[in-house]
Amino acid sequence: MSARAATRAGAEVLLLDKRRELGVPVQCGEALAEEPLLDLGIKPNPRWIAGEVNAVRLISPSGLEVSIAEKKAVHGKVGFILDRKVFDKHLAMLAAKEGADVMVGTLVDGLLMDGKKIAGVKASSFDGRMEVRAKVVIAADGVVSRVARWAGVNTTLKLVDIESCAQFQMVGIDIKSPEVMEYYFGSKITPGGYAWVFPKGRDMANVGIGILSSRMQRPAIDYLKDFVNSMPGLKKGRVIEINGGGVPVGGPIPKTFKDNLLIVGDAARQVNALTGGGIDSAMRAGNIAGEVAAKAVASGDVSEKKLKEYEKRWREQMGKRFKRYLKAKEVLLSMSDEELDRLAKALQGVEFEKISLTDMLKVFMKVSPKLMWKLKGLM
Amino acid sequence: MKVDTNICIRCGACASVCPVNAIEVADAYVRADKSCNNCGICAKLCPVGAVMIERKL
Ligand SMILES: Cc1cc2nc3c(=O)[nH]c(=O)nc-3n(C[C@H](O)[C@H](O)[C@H](O)COP(=O)(O)OP(=O)(O)OC[C@H]3O[C@@H](n4cnc5c(N)ncnc54)[C@H](O)[C@@H]3O)c2cc1C
Ligand code: SF4
Ligand code: SF4
Repeated sequence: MSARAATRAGAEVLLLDKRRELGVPVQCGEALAEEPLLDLGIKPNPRWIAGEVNAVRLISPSGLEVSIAEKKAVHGKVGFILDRKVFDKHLAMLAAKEGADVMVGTLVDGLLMDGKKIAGVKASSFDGRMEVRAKVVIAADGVVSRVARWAGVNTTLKLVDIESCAQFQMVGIDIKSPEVMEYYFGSKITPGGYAWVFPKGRDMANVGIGILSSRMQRPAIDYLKDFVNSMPGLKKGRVIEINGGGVPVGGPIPKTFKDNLLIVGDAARQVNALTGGGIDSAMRAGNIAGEVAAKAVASGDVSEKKLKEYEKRWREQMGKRFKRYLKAKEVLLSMSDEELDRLAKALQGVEFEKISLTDMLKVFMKVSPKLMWKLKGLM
Repeated sequence: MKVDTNICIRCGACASVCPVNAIEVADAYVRADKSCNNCGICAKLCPVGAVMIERKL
């Protein structure tokens, strides 16, 4: 997104990615609301949409179901289950169409410095080693986030701040309703996280699990196997892909800019700490970063004084939300299985149409006054 | 640390927690450089259990 925005704004852009095939391997449940696509002027395209969803079903540790019908649910509005193998390429294509240069299979392995000043990156590719000089480097290197660390920005995650996730793409499974995303909770299935089933049609889905790394006793994939085996509708299916990854859930880093450098997306830990969703924020922040970088380059001033506009803008757009999600995650983590069950029981039959996180919390507070003190400060 | 390449899904989660930024996540391999001190943090969160730590006794 940065590359598209910066090229549009008149900058000369080179997009580097270590992957020889963009979007592969998949490290994502692939759920995305429609809203960010519309806001960023990206037309939904059947080539990268594997499923359409309009509702969320939450399943408590003892199996009680809470349904949140359509729109404005946890992930935002009506949304999609993407095919990121195609989607990621599509985004690169949008940048290339605007005129950005793209180099895949190119691993950035260091920063190019002019004394103390960041002057570009070092990389290795099919053509051997190379040095790329740049006025602004946008570090959008995902959860790994090494570029920022080379620049002296500490993005190292603690185990309490990262979910370890494993995911199967499964076929031949029973999907009750292909338009409903399911989330399963409980300390047995997934300590400090949740399992998900995101449908891609009637008999296919992304089935995954995220576990708070600090609470993990075995590799996440073992918990996932247990989860699948405990569900007859899934157990009968076949795994056609194994993937996974780490999801930062400790909130964004405090400062995402420096002279000649902007940090974007997972690299800046711009992830919804409650749901683990980060496509939306990475795209929005990426777009802002591209615009700000291009403007700075055009003005001849790429110092942090100029680049801080990026942080100001993304915090205005998303900062409050990140804070609330972080708080909500902490509340969720503090709840026992019994508390989750009690909450689910109280929510049975509650009308959840057109619900937002705020409205949902109001209902939670009503049905479970004991949770009140925990939820305070979230509203 | 060493990575079992038959199991590793190249997700990079290990690299994000390494206190000395030792892990390079390339498209074809994942490996730590000399600065790795075998602290074992990366092994704790690898989602597929691909990290092997050499313990010095
Ligand atoms: C299992 C799992 C499930 C998830 N489910 C969802 C979901 O359902 N919905 C949602 O919104 N989010 C989800 N997320 C989070 C989401 O995947 C990320 O937040 C999102 O992909 C972040 O985008 P990004 O562009 O910042 O990073 P990435 O998509 O990770 O992109 C980073 C890019 O940088 C490249 N790169 C990294 N290092 C280098 C280097 N040194 N040199 C060159 N290139 C490099 C990589 O190859 C990659 O293409 C999930 C994550 C996981 C792990
Ligand atoms: S966390 Fe495990 S699977 Fe992921 S890159 Fe590191 S070693 Fe490979
Ligand atoms: S063992 Fe410790 S120092 Fe070595 S790569 Fe893993 S986290 Fe880094």
